[in-house]
Amino acid sequence: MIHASSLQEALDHQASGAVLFAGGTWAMRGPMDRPFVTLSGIPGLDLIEGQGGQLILGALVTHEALARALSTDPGRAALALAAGKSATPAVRRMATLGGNICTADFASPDLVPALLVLGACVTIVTAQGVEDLPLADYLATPPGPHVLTHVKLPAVTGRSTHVRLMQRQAGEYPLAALSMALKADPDGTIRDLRIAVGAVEARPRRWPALEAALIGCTPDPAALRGIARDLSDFIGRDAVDAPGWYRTRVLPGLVARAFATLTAPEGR
Amino acid sequence: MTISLTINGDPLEYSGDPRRTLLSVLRNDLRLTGAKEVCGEGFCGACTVHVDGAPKVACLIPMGTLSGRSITTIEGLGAPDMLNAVQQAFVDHDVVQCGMCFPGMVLSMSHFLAETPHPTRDEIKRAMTGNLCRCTGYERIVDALASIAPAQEALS
Ligand SMILES: Cc1cc2nc3c(=O)[nH]c(=O)nc-3n(C[C@H](O)[C@H](O)[C@H](O)COP(=O)(O)OP(=O)(O)OC[C@H]3O[C@@H](n4cnc5c(N)ncnc54)[C@H](O)[C@@H]3O)c2cc1C
Ligand code: FES
Ligand code: FES
Repeated sequence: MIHASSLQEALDHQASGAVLFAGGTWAMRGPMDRPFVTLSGIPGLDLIEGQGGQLILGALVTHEALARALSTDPGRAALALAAGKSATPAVRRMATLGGNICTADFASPDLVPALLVLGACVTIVTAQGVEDLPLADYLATPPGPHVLTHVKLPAVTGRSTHVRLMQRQAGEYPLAALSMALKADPDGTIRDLRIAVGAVEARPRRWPALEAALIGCTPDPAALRGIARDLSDFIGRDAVDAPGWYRTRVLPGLVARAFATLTAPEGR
Repeated sequence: MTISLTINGDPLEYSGDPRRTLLSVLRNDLRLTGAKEVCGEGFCGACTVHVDGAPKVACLIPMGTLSGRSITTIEGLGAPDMLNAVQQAFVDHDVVQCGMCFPGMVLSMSHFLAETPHPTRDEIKRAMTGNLCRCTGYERIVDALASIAPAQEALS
């Protein structure tokens, strides 16, 4: 176990085969024959800072710290709920934002769909230097060896939420998770809508077909499930907790639940 | 490299493999067997200990990250003739069955009640999500915890 005190040091050890270690809640359940390089000695990675309307979050911010910091931020409720309902209280004290994004073989990271609908950009450092890129691009084309240092969230104007379908109420991975961010006119016309789905496919992603179909409309909540069913192009992932067909079948219900929450008078 | 930390107030100098888990060191080297090894994956909470006062799962914590930390296990909480409020309520409500989950349950709930002195039943249940009781005596555990806040108020 190596304790990096700078990003360069972490990158050097990573290049020679060490595994980055943040909260350890994923790494400690994998192969233990490789060296770990811890990030906790690198300054600034636990930052939570508002700049204008923008919010900058360090990669080592824990799920617990995130839920606490966002508890009074209704526009970013999707992220607060994702962070506050994931895993268990003890694990939320350990697991980090960066670990949630960077665990490439984790299908159900709750924070990622929430970050996608909030328009997150990530800052990564590689041997070539520092790069800012949209989270969606990071997920679509995972970079080579890198350290993710920060997440930037733009100012928000609408409301957002995160819903999860569970076998039990808590304490395990969701069978499907959906984040939604909505901006609507007082008459209910949708001005902006972003929907992202986690746990269904190998990695979370947006649902552009459904977003495009609903923007500019005033959808009848009763018709929403049917629209979502018709426009679903997700191919569900089979795993021990649920077969793929089940994960896709529950998505319209999650869409309806999220939409109902966001259009309720005091919803979020 | 030697790692210095304290366990229940006693200093420990550790110089083994830094990737070894805190749980393994507690149970196998120090014979502090209150923290249980059950799932080994962070799901059940049977291995919960306090790290600098906050409950964490010892099965996922490598020794190498614990330099300067202060660990409290169930052996360091209360004493047989001086139980803390949670331990006493669990005795009074006769909630312990096989006992496997209880060291972790006591450590998680003692911290939770210190942070949330007047919890609702729903808040108690949410706080318990990381501590599985395979004997499933949950309702009595919740009853015991719910009895603590009013009792403490009556005493003060
Ligand atoms: C019992 C249990 C239940 C859980 N349930 C959920 C759940 O319901 N929802 C949920 O979202 N999460 C859940 N998790 C937590 C999940 O493990 C974490 O959310 C996260 O994926 C890992 O974060 P970490 O900080 O522990 O990462 P680590 O284990 O430290 O690292 C994981 C991987 O990410 C890489 N990495 C970490 N940080 C960086 C970085 N800054 N830059 C580049 N690479 C990095 C590491 O190299 C490693 O490969 C659960 C965990 C447990 C133990
Ligand atoms: S043994 Fe650590 S959580 Fe189950
Ligand atoms: S009392 Fe047996 S597991 Fe809880």
